[in-house]
Amino acid sequence: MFTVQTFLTSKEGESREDCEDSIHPVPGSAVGDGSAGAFAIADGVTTSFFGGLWARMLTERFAECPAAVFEQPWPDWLLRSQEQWQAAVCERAAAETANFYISNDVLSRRPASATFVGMLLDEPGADGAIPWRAQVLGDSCLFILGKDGPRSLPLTKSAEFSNLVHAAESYANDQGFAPQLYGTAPHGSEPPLVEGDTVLLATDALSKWLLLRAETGQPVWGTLLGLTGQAEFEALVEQARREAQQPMENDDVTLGIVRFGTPHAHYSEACFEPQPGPDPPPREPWRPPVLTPSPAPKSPAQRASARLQPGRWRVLLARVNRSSLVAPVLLGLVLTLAVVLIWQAVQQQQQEAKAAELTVRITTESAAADRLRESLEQAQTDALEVKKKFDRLQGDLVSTEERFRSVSGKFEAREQEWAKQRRELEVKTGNLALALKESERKAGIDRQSLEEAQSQITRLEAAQQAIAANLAAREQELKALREPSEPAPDPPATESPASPPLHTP
Amino acid sequence: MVERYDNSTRAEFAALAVNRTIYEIIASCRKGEKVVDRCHLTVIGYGERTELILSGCPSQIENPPHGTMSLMRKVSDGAGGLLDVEMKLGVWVQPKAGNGTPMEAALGLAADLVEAWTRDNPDNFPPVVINISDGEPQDAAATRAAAQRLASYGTSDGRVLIYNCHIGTGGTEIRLPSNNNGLPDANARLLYDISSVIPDSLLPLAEQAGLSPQPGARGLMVNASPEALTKLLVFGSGSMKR
Repeated sequence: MFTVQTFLTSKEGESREDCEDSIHPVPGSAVGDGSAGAFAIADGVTTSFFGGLWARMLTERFAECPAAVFEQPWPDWLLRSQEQWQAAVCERAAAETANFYISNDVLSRRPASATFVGMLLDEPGADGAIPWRAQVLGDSCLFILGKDGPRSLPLTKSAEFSNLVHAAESYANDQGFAPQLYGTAPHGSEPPLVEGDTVLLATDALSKWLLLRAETGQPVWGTLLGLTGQAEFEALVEQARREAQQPMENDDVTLGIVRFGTPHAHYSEACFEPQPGPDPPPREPWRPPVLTPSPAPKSPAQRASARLQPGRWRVLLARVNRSSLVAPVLLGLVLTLAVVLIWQAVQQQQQEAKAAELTVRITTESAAADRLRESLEQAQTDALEVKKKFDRLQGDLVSTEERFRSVSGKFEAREQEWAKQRRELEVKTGNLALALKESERKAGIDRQSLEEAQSQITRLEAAQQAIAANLAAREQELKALREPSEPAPDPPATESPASPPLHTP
Repeated sequence: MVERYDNSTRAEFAALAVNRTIYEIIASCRKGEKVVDRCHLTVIGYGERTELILSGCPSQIENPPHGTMSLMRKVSDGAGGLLDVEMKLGVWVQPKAGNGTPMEAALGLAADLVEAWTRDNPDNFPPVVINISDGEPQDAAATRAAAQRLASYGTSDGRVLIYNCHIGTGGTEIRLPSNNNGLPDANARLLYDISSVIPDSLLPLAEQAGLSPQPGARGLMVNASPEALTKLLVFGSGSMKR
């Protein structure tokens, strides 16, 4: 008896619909007794093309017939999902809303990629232990929390995770990667599952984090085993991403938990104690800089204004004040002059700033107008090109139609000729069948005559033997009559009544 | 930038390579029919003057401002053969060549942008700056200072990565050198000094792009051929496509 829980969450900042992981059974559908004993996860590679769709198709294919992935060669097993995926993306590329990115990707056969783990439990043995087998491809991992310690497949250390991942692709590929088969004998050399064991299926970010925590002596198995719902799972992932040391990477996260009875006590005790880093600053979306032309070189007037900045005068006045020998009158004059000059400089600077601002605005607007003009010209050029292409395509269409008509005329003529030949052949076949029957009939008559002749010969041979026997008996009788007395004269030849008339058949 | 370079001018080839790179980055940020803002992209042009040509997240720039162009490309037909198909490439950047190489101004502007971005995104993958030029910087000292300021910014994930590509076909090509022996002139040595050492974690990406970096290699190409420029762009933008 086992129980199953499955969870799934998306990258931070993205919605659940954007999640490109997939799991079977889907979250919420099979909490409790997973009687089918089949579990799968797939992780659509983020930068691949419709990777989420591909991952979902793989887990759905597994769910339909879990044993098939172990019985069929891997490329054969993938084939149906590949055809499904290719049909789905072609449909999207043909949609009116499709942009050139999707059309390009379909034309260039850009594949989706996904990692995969599919696990199937077999019937328990007499001792209650459950044999199992699993196909594992890529960096999604299978953890077995057994009595003697945790074991992870196929990766066993956090350092083994990299950006280059083995994955199943949505186009058939001779150089494609194949999964590794694990399990109990005869599929592998793993021990069967017993009471107290737990199996985890996890995609890469969580797998790596679980290994990292275990490697640094801070395992978190107990926290996973204590999860009661999706909200707790999401909170755990969020806390793990906020850890000051070794945070979980920001990625879609999927977890399947299969429990065989009450988990071994030493796992339940190993719980996560969050040690978050400082709160991240409130995130304002980073605004791109405004596209403005680079500032023009300073004019002589601007350079003069820079020389007359009030700050420079303040420095000069400070120097003057430091001199105790300067007369107060001179100081007053200097101050007055300074105030006038500062006022003038400020006025001039304000006017120049306004002028500069206007210049920048004019330049910006002109640049925008230029861009619009360029866009218009480009649009006109594009329209002309499209028109030319349309004309060309129309020409092609007309010639294609003519070719079609000519080909279809030839086809009809050929078809009529074939029909005629077929009829002739049928007549010939019929005639031959009749001739065959006639021959068979004649052969039957001949066979009967032959049998009659043979029986007549047999009868004649029997008669001949009887005559010979009769003749011999007569000769004996004659001899006996001659021996005791004088020889009697030869009896007249008489026709024996027993002898049948001799005739030829 | 008007010299011949792979059947076009250097400016045309560089614009095409940059447009391809932008296309690939946006394509890799697509999630089915949606585009997800996983990075920010800025293009600065410099020559006669220094200007911001493009800046925005993928969702802001997915529609190319200068429309699209058609390119024939060979693709696998899935049965061991190749097919010619017509594909669309967005035009975000148009080729332009002018006198002067105000590299210090361009790196200075990049430093201003990077400073603001790293302040607002302290835990992200650090910015990658790819500098493409065929000329000598107008002011070597100012260029070095601007590059040093640019390289001083970073995030909790590392310092800004600066890759330089000197394009040209007039000398021996040098790819991702790990020391400055054999660099042809002072200009190349300056570019070497301001190029980042490729972090070990990114070496596999360089391998994947068809380059063969040694440990300690710097993100620098000297006298780069069109192929080398393309590979550096593929490698440099690779971390944005993870």
